Amino acid sequence: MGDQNGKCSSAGFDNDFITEIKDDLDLLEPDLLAMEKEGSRVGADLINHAFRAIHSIKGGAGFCGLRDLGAISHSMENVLMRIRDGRLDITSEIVDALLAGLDRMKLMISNLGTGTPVEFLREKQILDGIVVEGASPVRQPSFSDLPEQSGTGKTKPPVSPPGTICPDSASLDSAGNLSFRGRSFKVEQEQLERAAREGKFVYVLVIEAKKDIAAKGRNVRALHDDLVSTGEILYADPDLSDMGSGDAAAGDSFFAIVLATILDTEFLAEVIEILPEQILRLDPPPLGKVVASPLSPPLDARPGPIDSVASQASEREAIPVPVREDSTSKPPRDTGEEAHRPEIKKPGETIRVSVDLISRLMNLAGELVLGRNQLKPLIEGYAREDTGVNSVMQNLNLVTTEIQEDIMQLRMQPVSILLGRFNRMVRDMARILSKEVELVVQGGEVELDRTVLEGLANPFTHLIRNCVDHGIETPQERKALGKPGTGTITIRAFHQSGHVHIIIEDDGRGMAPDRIVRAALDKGIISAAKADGMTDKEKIGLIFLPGFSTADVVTDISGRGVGMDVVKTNIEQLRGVIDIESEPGKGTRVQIIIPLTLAIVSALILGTGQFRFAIPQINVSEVVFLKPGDLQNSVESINRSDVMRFRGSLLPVVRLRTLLGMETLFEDSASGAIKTERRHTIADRRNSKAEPEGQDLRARKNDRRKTDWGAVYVVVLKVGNNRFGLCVEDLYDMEEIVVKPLSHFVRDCRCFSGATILGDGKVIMILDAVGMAAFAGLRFDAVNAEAERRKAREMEARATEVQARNVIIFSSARDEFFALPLSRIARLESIRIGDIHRIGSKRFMKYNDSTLSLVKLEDMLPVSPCVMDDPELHVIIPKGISMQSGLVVHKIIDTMEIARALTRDATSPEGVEGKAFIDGRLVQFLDLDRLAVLMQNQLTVTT
Amino acid sequence: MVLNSMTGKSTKQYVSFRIDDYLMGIDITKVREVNLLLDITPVQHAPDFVRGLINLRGQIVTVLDLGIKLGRTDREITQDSHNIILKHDDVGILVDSIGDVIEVFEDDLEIPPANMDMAVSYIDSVIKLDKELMMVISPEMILEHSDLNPQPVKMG
Repeated sequence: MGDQNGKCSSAGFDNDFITEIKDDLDLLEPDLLAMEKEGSRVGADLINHAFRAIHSIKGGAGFCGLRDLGAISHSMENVLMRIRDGRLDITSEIVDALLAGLDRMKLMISNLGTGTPVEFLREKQILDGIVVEGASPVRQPSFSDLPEQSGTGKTKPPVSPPGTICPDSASLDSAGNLSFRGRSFKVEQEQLERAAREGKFVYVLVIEAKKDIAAKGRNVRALHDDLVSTGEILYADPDLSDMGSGDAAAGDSFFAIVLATILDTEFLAEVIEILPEQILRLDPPPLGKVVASPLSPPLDARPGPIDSVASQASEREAIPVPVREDSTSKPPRDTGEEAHRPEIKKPGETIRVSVDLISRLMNLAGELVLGRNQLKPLIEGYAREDTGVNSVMQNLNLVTTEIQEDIMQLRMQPVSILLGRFNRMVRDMARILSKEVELVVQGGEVELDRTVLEGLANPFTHLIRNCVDHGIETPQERKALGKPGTGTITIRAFHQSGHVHIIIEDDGRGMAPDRIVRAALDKGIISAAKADGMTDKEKIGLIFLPGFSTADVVTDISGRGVGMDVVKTNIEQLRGVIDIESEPGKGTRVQIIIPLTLAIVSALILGTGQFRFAIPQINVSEVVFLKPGDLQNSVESINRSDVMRFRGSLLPVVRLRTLLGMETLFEDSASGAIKTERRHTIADRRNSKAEPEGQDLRARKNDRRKTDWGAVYVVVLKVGNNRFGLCVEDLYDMEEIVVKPLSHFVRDCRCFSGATILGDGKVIMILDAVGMAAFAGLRFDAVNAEAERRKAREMEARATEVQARNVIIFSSARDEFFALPLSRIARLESIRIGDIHRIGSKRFMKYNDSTLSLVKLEDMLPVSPCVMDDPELHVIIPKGISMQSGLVVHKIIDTMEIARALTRDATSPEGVEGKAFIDGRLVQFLDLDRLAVLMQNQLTVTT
Repeated sequence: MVLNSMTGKSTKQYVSFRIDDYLMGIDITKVREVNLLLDITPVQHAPDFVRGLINLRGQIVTVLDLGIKLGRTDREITQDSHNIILKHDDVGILVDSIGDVIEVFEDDLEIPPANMDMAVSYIDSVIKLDKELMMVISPEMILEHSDLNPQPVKMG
């Protein structure tokens, strides 16, 4: 069936209706999801809300002649109606079907005007199938079964007392006669059937000529036109079309009209400008004969959607009524608890405004503020003379500020608009992956600028998808781990220090840092050396690197890697910061900090020379003030680069005017002329001898280095985890600035991220910290890499003990060589054999007027005995051991510096660190600390 | 394009101005306004021909110095200096002095001579006035070729 026929097929379809249908579709989705969640405990108000939405979609579709949309919405309405009546229990399958139908409808709306028909028969058949299956015999009594309460009886009092509202529906008697408000109507049964087939309601209207036509300045012709435009007139008494525009507007005459239309009662009343009490809706006729097979494709338009599905019983109810909130109707309606839903705003409280208009208003408000600011100094003079001026100015001030704030407020939207969308995604993904996931949103009311919100949609989709896909385990796994079977993803939004924080947290399996590193190594994203020194947090941060996001890696590491670099870029484009923490087995936490609005940022205004610049506050870590005298002490130069000692480490300092290549002007204190500063770096100033010629003596005597330079400020800027100092001469206020984008002529200037207009009307540039760091050639990456490399090297060195050290090499037996670190030796003594005195097995010598115990290596180590027959022997007196003793050795060979890996193997006895070949000799390196213990044992045991 | 009532021939109007000694013109329909907002904020690191930014009633406009494009030095701001703000793209042109609006017959427009470098000159055509030649610059070409390096124009 060719949809998009009639007036909607052209581009000229009624935009307002389409927008409303879209809104209703958006309303429907959360309701359906909530219904699924609540299951059988679902509240009537929720169903009614959903019902209302689908019903007005159907109405709008009919109004615009969108038949496909009408058909599928009708099927959905049927399902919802059965749920409402308690004849159908909500199951995930049903919600699936409803959501599928919803998706079709969304597609139909978005395809409007393209002329592309949307296939929807399958979805419709599923929906219709649910209705047929679910048509359980146990029917709750519904209002259409209660004719005596619904005002259909002919015995009903002719006119309702004022203020009462007539029930919504009524039936005809068998002859097709009906009485309503004292009028009688005649409706052909066949007309009713046809209307029902076309998905229309049949209404009986009583219109008073005086009240409804004359009093409103209308005429009969207009009324007739209105009626024809909304539907089909089945019966009219007197016949409207016969009347001219002039007559019958007066008098007490009534018009009795039967109208078939797709509009619901309230809407109809609105369109033809009568009270709802004047309208009576007819039940559709019992249509036993027109029931079609549910599977019959409704390709030919006539056997329309309405009758294609149901039995007579259900058909009698097929005209659904959204329960009116203001209804004071007598019959006890199905639920009774149709509580007013607070989030449904009554018409009149909101209006639609185009975003363009708001943007224009924003700009105008900006200009108003500007004008106010410019006016201020001009008027100050008068204010002193005339106090009246002052109060006027103050008033203007206040109003201007408020206007600006309110207009800004217009652009703000609650994050729930964005986060609400994810319910559906989480649900669908969880079902596909057979997981159980609950999405909890806290702080949905936190408001963000529209542009920011739009920019967040994409990264958030990535993040939440990752949570469900990789983070949350299957219910079985979770239970095995002692976690609840249902995983929880919590999104919290809150304000903190002028920024909005959004935290996405899951209780899934988290990320294992080592596996991320391994994946990164496999991908060649980082080097092994770099990986060694990384903290766990840094390892997890690897997932933000571009190139990490290939599918095999992602599944491999069981983490989130899908386009995380894109996520990061997106967040950074919004001037935001993203941070990720994860604990294996416990879950992952992503924290995002974003500014409230994109257009307005709080910035520090600073200046150098005659120029001012703005730097966003988010980049500023702190400001250091250097007094003229301090400058020389604080900023030092390494190879023409300026650094500052800052909190115990060196902070690279960049001078703004040097960075921007501005001529450094200064006022010569002697002549008052503006001259060009010739030195390039701050540190040059310290070197007074390098002062270029040409400075006259007086200037020098005045020490213009101090007077002209005055004080400087070092603004410490954050770039990620790195910091650098920006040296400027002047510091002004913090100001809320409106960021204006740069034109393409100047977009390539890396140091600037935009421009703004200050209160005094002056255009200034907004500095970009990242760009400046890059432009100044601050190699943060290289420095970090170098730091990592050194750390790694140090660790490596410690591991293999390749540390250069000075050793003394000596021999004990003739061809056995040993080494001891020189640093551990207190003294070398040359002795003769006769200097050694014995007491039993112990040997002593006289040393510094006292006795020194002597040991030989063979006493402690499995080595050959020391050569004792040479006339000259040596004693090595080590230091740093508890018992004073000397080691008797044969010859001191050499002292040397070695940096060589020692081999330590099973042949090395205790007390030997390892061995190495030095100059062709095999040298055993002694471990003095171990040796000392052995020495002590030796000396004490033998006592 | 206006039909001249006297001759019946179609005419065009140009805002004439001078950059150095050159007499130049720009189609009046492409000009938003001529102003004296000469408080120009320079943009460091921007191409030479970008003079800077001005605040045009709350809107930031980029001011170009076409003299650089024509191989001349920076404009010095004098009391005759003006900005010609173009209708599109928030762009202005800094000129040394502003002249009359000149109405010429379409026939008097001539494409630039062969020895002029068309690609970078932004010269759309040349008008032979009684006393001198007026170069008509094309705003579209300025905007399109703004990424090119400035090159001196060969002219006599």
